[in-house]
Amino acid sequence: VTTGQTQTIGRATLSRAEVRRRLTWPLRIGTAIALIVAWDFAAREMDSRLLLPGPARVFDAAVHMITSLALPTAVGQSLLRLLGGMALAASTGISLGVAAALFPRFAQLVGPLVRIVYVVPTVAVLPLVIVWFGIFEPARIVLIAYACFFEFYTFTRLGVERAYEQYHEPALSMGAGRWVLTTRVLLPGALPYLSTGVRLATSQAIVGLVLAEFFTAVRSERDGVGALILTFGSKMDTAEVFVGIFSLIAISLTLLAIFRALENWFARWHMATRAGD
Amino acid sequence: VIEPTAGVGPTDAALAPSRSVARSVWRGLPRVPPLSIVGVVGFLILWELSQYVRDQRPMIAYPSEVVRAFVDMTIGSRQTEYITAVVSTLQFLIFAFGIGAAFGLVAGFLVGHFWILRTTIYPYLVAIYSTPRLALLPLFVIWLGIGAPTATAVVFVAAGFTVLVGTAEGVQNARKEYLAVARSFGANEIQRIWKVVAPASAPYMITALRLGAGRAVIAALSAELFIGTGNGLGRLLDQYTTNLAMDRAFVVVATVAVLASTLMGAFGLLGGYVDRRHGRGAGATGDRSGD
Repeated sequence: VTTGQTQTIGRATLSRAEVRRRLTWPLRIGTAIALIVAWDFAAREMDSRLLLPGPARVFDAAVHMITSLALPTAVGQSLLRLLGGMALAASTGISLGVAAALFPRFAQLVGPLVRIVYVVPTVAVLPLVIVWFGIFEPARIVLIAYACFFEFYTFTRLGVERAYEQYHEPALSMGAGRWVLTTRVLLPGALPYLSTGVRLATSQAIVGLVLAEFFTAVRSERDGVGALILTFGSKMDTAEVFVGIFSLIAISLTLLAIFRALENWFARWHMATRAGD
Repeated sequence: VIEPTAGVGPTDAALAPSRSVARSVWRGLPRVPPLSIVGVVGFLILWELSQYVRDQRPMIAYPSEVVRAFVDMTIGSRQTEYITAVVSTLQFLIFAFGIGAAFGLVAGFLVGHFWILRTTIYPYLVAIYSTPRLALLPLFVIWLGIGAPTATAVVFVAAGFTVLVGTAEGVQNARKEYLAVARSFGANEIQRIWKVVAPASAPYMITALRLGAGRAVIAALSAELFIGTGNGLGRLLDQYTTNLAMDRAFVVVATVAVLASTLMGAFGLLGGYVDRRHGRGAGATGDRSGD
């Protein structure tokens, strides 16, 4: 028993923190159930498929969309697009970031121009992108890349600069040349920062994805999750819109979890290499 | 160079304060490396000159045209439509961001302070926060129709939930740092909230407000582009790009950027003031305007 308030559960006396720890999961599960019951109740009361479809209706819609392969196709399309856009942003952002970190003069030259990308929001450039790149795949990829370019650039630059501060003296004293210093020391040293950048870039890229799929040509509801939400929304199929939004949340949570795991792995690896020297 | 010496004559004494103010303002300005100026100016010149190599009109406007369009829109013949759009967007933003921020601060404080709320509903609030706001637009259109209520709802969610999550995180951190001390000194609940939690979480709240302001601008613009109503900057941007008036479109894009950075900068200044008063360097979490 620690300090402060205590509470008696059964015969054992528990500290406040212990009570809370034991109650956390029951409360969480209870909330989930309570929310679904409340949703179901509200849907029955309102009795409107248009305004608020009940959980059962949404579940049916989800099952139907999965078995008809509409949802998996849309998710696959969106993921491919997302990866394409992020790959474009990563290749430009990482190379510019490394160059800016290695050559301070280059950083001064391009810094303000990169800042423009940071200051001008993706929605504001959307109409320009459509004028320049059309309403099909190239425009979508460019838009997603624009949305997440800055994260790749900044974190690469930051990582390489930090690695330089920490390691350039020992590396040079052990006889590393510029090339070895860059490829064997600075770039691996920047990886922990870059993995954080990738995670932040993912959130931005998903925003760019929705934007791209909403405002470019929508051929069918299978053409990405954004297109799916939009098509069913314009048909006033609210249950299907819910399914679309939930799958978007699922995509972003899954990607973030993957990249967070990657980030932790790199952070541990970073600590291990530092402890080893 | 003759340094002004204090007490030599009335002129110097009168000049001294204004000089020192000017000097401190000058010192406060960020130093711009000369190469940065070279970069920006060179980029503009290359852009301007590129029309003689391969003219891309009407897909692109050149800097001289953008400047002309800017003059035309601020003091020239298009003044009314531009100023109307800016004022309309600003009014709408202040209203929608205001209610969103108020909701976010209050709800964030409650969620951060009360364990029961944090355990039960906070995960769902975070889920709403991390959903791209734009994805909710079709849903709001079904619920609220096409028009101002939908736009308000999107900005409300965009700003409100950003402020909520930031405030809740701040309050939680403040609790961890100081609350045990306050409790051991015998502070009661009201004293703990008002004298410990509120000041300690203020920097986080201001950061959250800054992020929320940036997101509010973006949400307002998206809503206008998506719904196609209203008479703000989004409508104007849509109209100009549809007519391939790229010079004017660039002016609108720049206006949006300036608007977002000004709002965020204002909260940044407020954050600096609070930091100086409380002497801590919080409020320095990410400042990307987000979506």
